[in-house]
Amino acid sequence: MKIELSFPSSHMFLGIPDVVIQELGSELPFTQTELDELSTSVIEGCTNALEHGNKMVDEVPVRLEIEFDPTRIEITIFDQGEGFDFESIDFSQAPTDLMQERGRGIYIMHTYCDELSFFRQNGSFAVRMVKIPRSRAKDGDGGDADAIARED
Amino acid sequence: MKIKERERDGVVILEVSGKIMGGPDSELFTNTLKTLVHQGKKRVVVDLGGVSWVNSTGLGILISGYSTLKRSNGEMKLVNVSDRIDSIFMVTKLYSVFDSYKSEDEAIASFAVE
Repeated sequence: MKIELSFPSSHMFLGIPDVVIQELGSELPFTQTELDELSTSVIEGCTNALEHGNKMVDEVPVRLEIEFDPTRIEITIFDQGEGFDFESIDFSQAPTDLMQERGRGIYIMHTYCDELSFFRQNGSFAVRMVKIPRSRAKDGDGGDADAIARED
Repeated sequence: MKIKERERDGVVILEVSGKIMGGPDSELFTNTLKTLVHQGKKRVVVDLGGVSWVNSTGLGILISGYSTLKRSNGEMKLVNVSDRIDSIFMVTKLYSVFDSYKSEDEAIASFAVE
């Protein structure tokens, strides 16, 4: 099944995907911790989309596609920016300067999600993240936490 | 984000509620702490019990506040950190920066033993 939603590029709307994921996830076999991890990741993705992609222009929407079934939730976040050189960055490394005030968003997404990838599509830049219930991952159906893929 | 300010035993308690996520939150939190420093109030406990979530921009806001007090020989302690926020502190290793306490009593007492 699939849900689509969009919201203006303003911080005041960042709570919307959190509410949607928490509500949707309560009907699926995810723990509260797993839902919080996914929701935090989506908020990070949306923060990047509205700040860096859409440059905080309210009229330019952040768009989400949420696909789900009992085995996984897959969320793709689209913005209208140019994106960044994601193939040259090692997302598995936490910032070494603990006092730096920015630069943790992608590391948090990478840590919390089973799959994380970036791509460009029809003039949009997108981040796609997948969360699999740990009960399912233990059965060998888990994702690849290091997957950084490009899909044109 | 909303901030409610009160004092107890010479320590300022900032009860933060809502979400810490950037935008106007940064200015509100930073200005609140700068005003406290200007007033000579440099022992601050930030109560996160009413905060539903923090994003990475929000982490930066907390770090900025911590640094503001530290530069003025003050201190910022955290209390009532939810499991969700504690998880982000663990992932980002910020648990080693922020002093976090279970209760307001413990946080206030920690100033006395320094």
